[in-house]
Parts: sequence; structure tokens; C-alpha cells
Amino acid sequence: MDISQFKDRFIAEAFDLTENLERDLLALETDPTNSELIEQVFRVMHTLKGVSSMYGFDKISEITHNLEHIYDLVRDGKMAVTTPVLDLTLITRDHIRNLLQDERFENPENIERQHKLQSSIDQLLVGNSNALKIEKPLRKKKAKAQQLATFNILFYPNEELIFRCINILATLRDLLALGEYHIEQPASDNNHESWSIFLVTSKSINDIEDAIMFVSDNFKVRKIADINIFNTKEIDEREKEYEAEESPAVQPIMVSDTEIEYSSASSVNNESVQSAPELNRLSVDITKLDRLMYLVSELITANSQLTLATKEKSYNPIRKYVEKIDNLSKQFRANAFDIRLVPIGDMVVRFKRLVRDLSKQLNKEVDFVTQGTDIELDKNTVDKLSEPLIHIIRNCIDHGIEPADVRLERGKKPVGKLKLTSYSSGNYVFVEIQDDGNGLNLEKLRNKAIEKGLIAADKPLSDKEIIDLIFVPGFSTANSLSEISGRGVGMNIVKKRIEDMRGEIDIATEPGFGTTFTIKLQQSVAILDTMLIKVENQYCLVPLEDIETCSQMVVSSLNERSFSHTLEYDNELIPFVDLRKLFDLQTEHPDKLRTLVLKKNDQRFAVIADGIVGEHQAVVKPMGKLLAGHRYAAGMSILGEGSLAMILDTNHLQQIAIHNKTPEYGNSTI
Amino acid sequence: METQQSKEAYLSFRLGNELFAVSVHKVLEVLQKQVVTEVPETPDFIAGVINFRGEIVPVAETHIKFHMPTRSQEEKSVIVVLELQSGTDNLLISMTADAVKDVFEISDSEIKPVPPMGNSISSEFISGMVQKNGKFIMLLNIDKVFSTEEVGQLASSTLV
Repeated sequence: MDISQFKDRFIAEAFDLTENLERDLLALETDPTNSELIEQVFRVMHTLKGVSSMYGFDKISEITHNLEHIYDLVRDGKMAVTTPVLDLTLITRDHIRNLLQDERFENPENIERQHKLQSSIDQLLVGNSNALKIEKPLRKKKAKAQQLATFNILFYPNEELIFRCINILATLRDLLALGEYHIEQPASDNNHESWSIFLVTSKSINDIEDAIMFVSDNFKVRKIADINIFNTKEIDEREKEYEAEESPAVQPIMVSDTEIEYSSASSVNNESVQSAPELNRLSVDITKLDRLMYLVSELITANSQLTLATKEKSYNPIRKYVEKIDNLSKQFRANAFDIRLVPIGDMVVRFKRLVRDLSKQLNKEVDFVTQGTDIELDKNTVDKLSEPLIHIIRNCIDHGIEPADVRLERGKKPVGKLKLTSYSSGNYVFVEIQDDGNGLNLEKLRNKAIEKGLIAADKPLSDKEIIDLIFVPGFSTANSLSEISGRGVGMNIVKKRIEDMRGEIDIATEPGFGTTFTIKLQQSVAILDTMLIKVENQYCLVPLEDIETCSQMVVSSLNERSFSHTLEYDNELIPFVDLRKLFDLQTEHPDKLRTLVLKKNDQRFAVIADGIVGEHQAVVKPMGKLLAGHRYAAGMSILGEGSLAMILDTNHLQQIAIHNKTPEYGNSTI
Repeated sequence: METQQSKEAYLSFRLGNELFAVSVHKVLEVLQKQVVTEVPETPDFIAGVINFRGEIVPVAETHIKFHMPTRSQEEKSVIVVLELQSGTDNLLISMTADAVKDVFEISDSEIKPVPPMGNSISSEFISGMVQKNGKFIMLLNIDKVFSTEEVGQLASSTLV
């Protein structure tokens, strides 16, 4: 039996556990006497302590042991949840996550931090015992009143557990929550790894069996004593009793398998067996989902091929079945894509922590409000979105929100406000981050850009154009290069990341009153509604949502336009891309051309092609590793007849149109 | 027994008048009559891309790659889909061939060293020669043919 499989799973689950821990700690900060939360934190420490030692993460076990002790004191009312306690717990939580990746405990940073944390915890405990000696315990020691017993639980993991996708950590958590425990390191005999757990509890054997219900084949539970065998004092007393009774002293641990006791006492008191709050949620390996998505997209492709192939009249008898399949596969697609959607709230916890830490570090008070965190986005998008959002939040707190004294001078509330709002409209999801700070100083931005040589000093710019300067690489207005932001690469990367997700970012600012960043994203990106266009024998796809109008033009008017490289549309001159030139096709234009007017980032531009074929539901296929960096192909899609069409990246196409960057021919292999 | 173990299977194919072979372990599939979609702004030797089991796979034009005379349009061609090792990644690439001949097994001892070659094909692409039925077959070192640098070049050449 290979334990490492369990280990990987443990690491993954421990990460989840610490994720929830962070959420609970932040909640605890606003409500420090919430006994439910305290209990929750205690439980996490308890579980981590036990399970990490099983997998050889001794350092995690050590540090959580101490924290468990602290929260035990808190539970008993002997200690209060103060800011130092929370700070320490949060740092420890991060430390645990580092340790999970440093199994051998080799990273000098981790070693140092372990040491520091240990001494901070000790100080905290010492300080506490001095301060709060007389406080009476609030919690009744339930264990004291009842009779304690010691159980020995042998756990034999096997591969079947992995096949059955059993959450072994949850089982252990339930088990260890029953009482005090001691875990022996895995014993290896005859290739059978097993763990021996000694559990001291007031609960009956039924409660233990409830906890291991789903994996009982892998466990052996034996009651070995009616006392806490780890409490040597108690044993001594017992021995004295026995001696007095002149009965032979029992060796409590040496019990054979035959002595398994099945207590018949019903388990009334099972409140400590935690009911899983996410019972109606199922966590699935992401690769399984990917596989499902792949099959869905194959089905959609096959379906559109079938629809195309059966257009002829002779297929009339089966037409209605084809339509039925078409309908069902569309529903199936919608449903499957829905599985991949996760609420934005999942990542908001991370931001709360960030805001908390940053505002402390910068000595600013910030109130972080969220709205619409139940809005759902594709899992991949949420993952990719977190980094740019973190950057924006940093910017807002660092540059946007003013220190309290400045805010008071300006007649604002001393506590700054940062608001994250998300809402959906059609197939789009909007994420808005709004601060009530400085706002952008347009004059300063402009001067900075001139100073950096990014724009000419006399260039007339609209307000929006000035704001967009902060997306230019190498632009940073921060007067000092702070640790938090201002490396001058930030917003440029933010914009790029968002464009990579086929999204857009927009900034609105009101000097003196704050800035709003709005990110517009597609809810799911794997299937696009597109327009199929044709240039000579090349087919390409343009996302339908970017197209404003389609029209026709004659080639002579294009030639007239080649000098200024703009077209007249709706009384304005807009830049254009001639696909024939872009693709380096040597043939002459046909007499009549098609013009597609696209709108992206609030600006219009035109794309010139030979013809428009029609709408196409495109399953987006990535370009593959070899061609991933293509200048204007965002991916490919399979057409009805099995050939492929390039999906044009409208963001980059627009850049090409604006900068009139037709490729330098014959240069592509350099 | 020992000779049995060191035997390896190769797929041979014809390019113009020459015979080449690649290890069958690298070959995923041989495709016929495939629609190749051209992609602008890719290196000269990339004829385009195909849809292979739902993935977009580039097609290398072997004649251009090996500096061989361009074949006539009428000639039938097949596409050999290969899986290459590039660093820790597996990459899919495909290459054109005029015709696939057969699959044969040879042992290491039958492989002859590469003689100094003319100007057309870089000798580092060839790992050895085999003589079969009086004809010489060049064994392609396919990981070298589409080496990491070139694979990188393929990707970066299309970057802005």
C-alpha cells in the first residue's frame, strides 16, 4: 500500500481546511465571542494536529498543538480572542500552508518562522496566564463528569479507499473530535501500513463506529480500558484500588482482539460529531470535469456536422430526430457548463484577508464590502481573475484610499470604503471594484506620461485616453516605490490577464471621490457564438458580440482609403484591417468586399473580408502548445465539414488596426 | 533472447525517392486525405493545422523542412501524427509523407552509422541507416528534427 497517495490527498484537504480556517478567523475578528466560530477554529487545529502527525508533518503538528491549546483556553473563557491572537493564528495558518509544501522542513524561512511562531505563542500563553488567572471556566467540562474510556483504533488504509474517493480526512476529523488522542507512527508489517490511534473519550463505542461508518472495513476498534490510560495519576489510583481489592493488576493495553466490546448504549450525545455543512456539494477532480467538457464539445461539433449534412430534402423523415438531438445536446451543453461555474464568493475570502493585512501594514482603516458574491463564473476564469483583482485591490488601498487624517480634512469618514460588486447581464459577468479615495489625478497622469516619453507633450488626449495610460507598460505614478504596488508593471499585466480571458477592463474616476474598476467577462468561454467569414479560401470566425454591423463596399473605395487607413462609418473615421493583407494573400481583391464593423473597448474598427458565410457556434480549441503565441488567432474551431477555422482575437486585431501594423512579409521564420 | 529485447519497431515512409523511418513509439496515427487549414504568420515549413482527436496539431511540410524538391500537387500524401518529448512536455506535431511503406523490426546491431551526407538534410536529424531489401532507409531522430529550440522558435516566431 502506497501511503503517498493518501499524503497527496491529505495535503489537498489540509489546504481546503486552512482556506476555511481563514474565513472563520476573519469572521471571528468581527465577532470575537462567537462560540461556534471558536469551536470551529479549535476543531481545525485539532484535526490538523492529529492528521499531520500521521503523515509525518511533525512541525505542523507541533505548531497546531500549541494553537489548539490557546483555543482550548478561549473555549473555556480563560483567554480572549484578541488581535494578537488572531494575527498569530493567521500567520500560523499561512505558515502551515508553507509547511505543507516543505515536507522535509528544509526551507530556512520555514525553520525560522516555525521558531518565531513557537516563541510568540509561548509569550502569548505566558502573558495570558498572568493576566487572567481568576476567570472561571465558562464551559462545563463535559468530559470530566462522564466516565472516560480508552479505545485503540487500528486503521488500515488500502487502495480501495482511493478508488471509492473516500474523504479519509473527514473521517479522521470526526473520529479525533471525540476526545483526546495519541497517534502512533505508521507501523509497517508485511507491506501493510497501519496506524494505531489511542482515543480517550467519554463517548461510547457506537459514536466511534458512527464516525468511521463508511470505512469500517479499514478500521478495527477495541476498547482497552475504562480509564484514561494516558493519565498516569488515574492509573496509579486504579492500581491502588486493585491492590486494595487484592485483585491482579490489569495490563490495560494488552488486550486481544476477542475482547472487542460492543457497547449497546445508544448515542444520544452526538452533537460533537460535526455534520458536514457542504453535504449538498460534491467536490470532483477537475480532470474529470475537463473530460466531460471535452465530450460535450465533441458532441456539439458532431451535432452541427449532422445538422449540416442532413439539410437536404431526402433527409426529411429523420429531420425531427435530428432536431431533437440538436435540442438535447444544447441543453446538455448548458447543463455541463453550469457545473463548471463557481460563485465569485469563493475567492472573496482571500481578498478580505488581503485588505485586512494591507490596511494594517499601511496604517489605513478600510471597510471592505462585497455584493453579489453569488454570481457565478467559469472555474478557470475565477482562478485567473484572482491575480488581477488582487493587484487592483492593492492599488486601491495603497494609492486610492487616503490616510485617516487626510480623509477627515477632506470631510470624509476616517474609515475608507472598498467595495467589490459583481452582477451579470446576459452572457456577461461584471466585477466592479470601487474605492472612495483620491481618484486619479489626470493632470499628474498626463505629465508623468510626457516625462516618461510615452506621449508627445502637445498631444491632445481625452480623459479616457489619459486614464488608459496607466495600462501602458512601464507606467507608474506612485511617488515612492512601495512594497505593495507601484512597480510600474502592474496595471499593464492586469489588462493583459483580463484580455487573455477575453474580457475587458474599464476605469472610471472622479477626482477626490474615488475610482471604479469595471471588469467585463464572459460567463463561459469554451463555446462562442461567432460569424464565419471568408477571405479567398481561408475561413475565420469573429465573435458575434463584438460585431456592430456588416456591410458591403466596392474595392475602389478601399483603394482610396489606403492612404489614411481609415474608413468612414457613421460620420466618423475608423481604422480597419484588411484580412487579405494580414494573411499575406497575393491574390487581387474581388470587386465587392464585406466590411464588418466591430466594437471593442468602446472603440470601433473594421475588418475587411471577401464574404460572410453565416453564424457559427464555435467550440473553441486552443491553438496547442506549438502555436500558442499566435498574434491574432485566439484559437481554432472545427467547421461542419471537418476543416478548421481560426477564431480572430479581436483585441489584438484592434491593435493591428490602430497601429496599422501589417505584418512584415516573409519575416515570420526569424 | 537478448537480440529479441533490443529489437525496435519502425514505421517507414517515402519522401520523393528516399525512404525514412521513425520509431513506432513516437507515431500516434497515420492520416489520409486530411484537410489542412492554413494559418498565416507561421514558419515556412508549417503547412497549417489539422484537427487531431480534438486537438489542434501543426503540420510540418517535410519537403521544405528537409530542403527536398517540392512534390507535385497531384501526388497523394499522408500525414504522420507524432508525439514528441520537449523538456518535460509532450508535444503533438505531424509531418507529411508521400506514402507510408511498412512497419519493420530491427535490432541495434543492424543499424549502421550515418555516412557524411550531402547538403540537403542535416545529418543530425538521422540517427542511423538500415538496409532492407537492397534499399537504404534513414532512421529519423524525430526529437532532433523538431528540436526544443525549433519548437520554441515555432511558438515565438508568431509572437508580436
